Amino acid sequence: MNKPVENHLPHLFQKASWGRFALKNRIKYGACCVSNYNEREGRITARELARTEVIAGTGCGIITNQGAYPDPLGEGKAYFRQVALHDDRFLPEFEKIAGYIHDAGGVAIQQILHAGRYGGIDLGYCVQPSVVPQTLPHFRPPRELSREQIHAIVAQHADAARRAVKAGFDGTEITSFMGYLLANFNSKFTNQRSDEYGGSVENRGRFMCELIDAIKQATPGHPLVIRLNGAELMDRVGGNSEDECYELMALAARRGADMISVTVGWQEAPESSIGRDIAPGHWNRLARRAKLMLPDVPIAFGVRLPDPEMADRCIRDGDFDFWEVCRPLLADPELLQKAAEARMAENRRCVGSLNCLSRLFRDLPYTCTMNPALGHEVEPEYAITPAAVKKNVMVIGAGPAGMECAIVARRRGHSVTVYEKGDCIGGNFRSYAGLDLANSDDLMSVVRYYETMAKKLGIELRLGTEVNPKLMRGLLHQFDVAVVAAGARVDRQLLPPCDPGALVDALDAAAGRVQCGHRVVILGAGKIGLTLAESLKSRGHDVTLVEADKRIAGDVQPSFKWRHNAWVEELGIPCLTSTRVTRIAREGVTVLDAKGAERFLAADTVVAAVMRKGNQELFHELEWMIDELHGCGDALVPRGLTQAIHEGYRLGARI
Amino acid sequence: MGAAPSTHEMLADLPAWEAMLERHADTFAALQPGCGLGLVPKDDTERRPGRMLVWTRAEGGGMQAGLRPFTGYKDCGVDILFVAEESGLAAIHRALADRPLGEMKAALRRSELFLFVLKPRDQLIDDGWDDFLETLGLAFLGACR
Repeated sequence: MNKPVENHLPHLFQKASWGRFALKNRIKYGACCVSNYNEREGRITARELARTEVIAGTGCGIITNQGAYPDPLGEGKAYFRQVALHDDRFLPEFEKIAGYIHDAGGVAIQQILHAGRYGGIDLGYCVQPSVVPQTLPHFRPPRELSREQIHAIVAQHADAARRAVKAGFDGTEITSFMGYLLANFNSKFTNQRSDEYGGSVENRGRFMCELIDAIKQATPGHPLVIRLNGAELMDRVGGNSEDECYELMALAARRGADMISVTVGWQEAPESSIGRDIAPGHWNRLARRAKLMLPDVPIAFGVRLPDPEMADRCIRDGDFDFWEVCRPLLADPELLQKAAEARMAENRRCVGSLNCLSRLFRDLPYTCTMNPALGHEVEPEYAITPAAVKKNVMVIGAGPAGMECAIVARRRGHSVTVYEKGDCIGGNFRSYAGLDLANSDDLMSVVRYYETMAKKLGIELRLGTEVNPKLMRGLLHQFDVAVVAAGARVDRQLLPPCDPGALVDALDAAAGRVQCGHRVVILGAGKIGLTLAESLKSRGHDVTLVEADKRIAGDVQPSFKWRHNAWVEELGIPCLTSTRVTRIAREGVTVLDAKGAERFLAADTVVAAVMRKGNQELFHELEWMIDELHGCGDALVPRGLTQAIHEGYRLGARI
Repeated sequence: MGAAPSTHEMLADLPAWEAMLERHADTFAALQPGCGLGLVPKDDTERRPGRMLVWTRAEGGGMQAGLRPFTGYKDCGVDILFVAEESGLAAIHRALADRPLGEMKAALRRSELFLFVLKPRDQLIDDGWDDFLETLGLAFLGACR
């Protein structure tokens, strides 16, 4: 049992007061994501309730429940399964959520989210201050709001706030994060009105002021939080400058907002705000500016600030008053407990893969790469429960799938031994993570987590040991279960015959087992080929990518495709798409483009990063040597980190 | 060396735009007849009417370039609209005989060209815009960054 560490992160875990509320710490759970777990008409499901019970237990002093849309028509509805708060019939479930938060000692805030430009998801249109067309085709064509409609929306917000308080919430929140309706009014980009709601900052901020007035009148004595952009990142395309953002913040403060949460970026902004390619702490300056400008208004902040130690320093230095955190708590709901006990090595860090948001844009419920149980809390099958029969389990492969399976199986009471032919934990993922241009440390944290947990849980590691039938004959009857998690390798059968020694496996190049020459041709522009190409190019190699498909990044998560496209452009890596390889020689490769034109690409090293195939030989070889034989991760079907972790977890929970 | 063409001279250089469209016929091959793309100089978005260059898929196949008045986003009658800074338009026009789509991609990255979509995603896919948008490196399905 770990002892609480005295005075660890004292500023973050300091008791605080906020109006009439005594808070147990300076941490606010931010409603930054809509889960998409609910019914189409907006009623909260058992799945959602189970998730929010976990969130309530995270230990945050303030917990904001995810944004509910306030209008019966659904013009404010941004996500297919977003919760609604336009009618009293929805209240029983909100009452349960407020109860969970209070039972855990938190202050409960309900966010009211009218998505404006990003709304009307079930309708054929969205509403905005002015008709400014979409830049992302996911969203609906716009209609301009009339004055009467604006007044009705303000009233709907006030009604929704009244309902939230009736359900037991202590206060409410409105948000302009990511370009929702409030942001649409505040921003010059989407507000081109010539009436009293458009033009000057004061006029554009009129809608915000009316919302503040109406909600505060509807819920007297209950605080209102307002989330406002410190930077829209839309200024290059006609949006607000940072100075204008702060003028709006000052206006909100004068109007009586009880807390300002500083946010960054719109969904359609042409640059990153929250992805792994943004360094932690990058935006802290925006919170600092808000705090300097508004010393008497509580400021919350957490955009791309996943590290509690950094948050503690920021609070100590007066950069902001409350650390607002969401995704790191989705990745690991025990984050705060681990941080308080100085056990951060055991934390499953949010790796900023944006899996959560990628899925929302496909109208799917969000999930988390690092936390396979997220969204499945209601299902006993995902719970880690003591195994009825304790078994001796061998896991073959110490990549993410194997390690995840080993950890979960061990936590259930099995005895677990991991065999790994390499000399360290991490498998092929380790090499890939080391090359990641976005933030290698984030991905390497996954490997470090597995190393820590293996040691903590007493998982036996046999590194440098390749499992084969000969080894197994010596181990017969020592194990009850074998899990094949041996990863995948490049499928050379997809390539034309080549000169002996002319082709290097991308995973060998990534691991540094083979050194690449100056001129490198990489065959395959999926995530492995791209990551290797970007890393080699940034280290001075002359790299060309050859891709048979008509596009690159085919296996990359939707929210990261643009990032690879941009890197390839910025680094100047030629990408030959719709191009087949016809011959591979020591001097280079011959390729054929879609129009039938052949050319030779000279290279010192030719790297194969084409489709991979699972290392499945052991399934056949071990079939008659062990009682239970399972597989997971890339060994079954080569995909990526998310699937490896999730499959490893599910298998570990089942053995 | 002659003076640089004005914005409107660049828009009106229809033979050069059509020659480019013909060279890149593959990129537009999946487009349905009648589908169109507009290109408006940023200053013209605030004029009534402004001028808009339009690329349209002809009934018999092939792409045509033409000029149309721009009367606002609401009624601009195209599926996709590019709003260009003068520098972006000049860069694309200069590259017409070379790599105009590559230059459009670069102008998008420099924020000298800005894209609006006037039809929902499913309709754009059905109408055959997928290839063209991907060629420009645009996150077609939406992106939270």
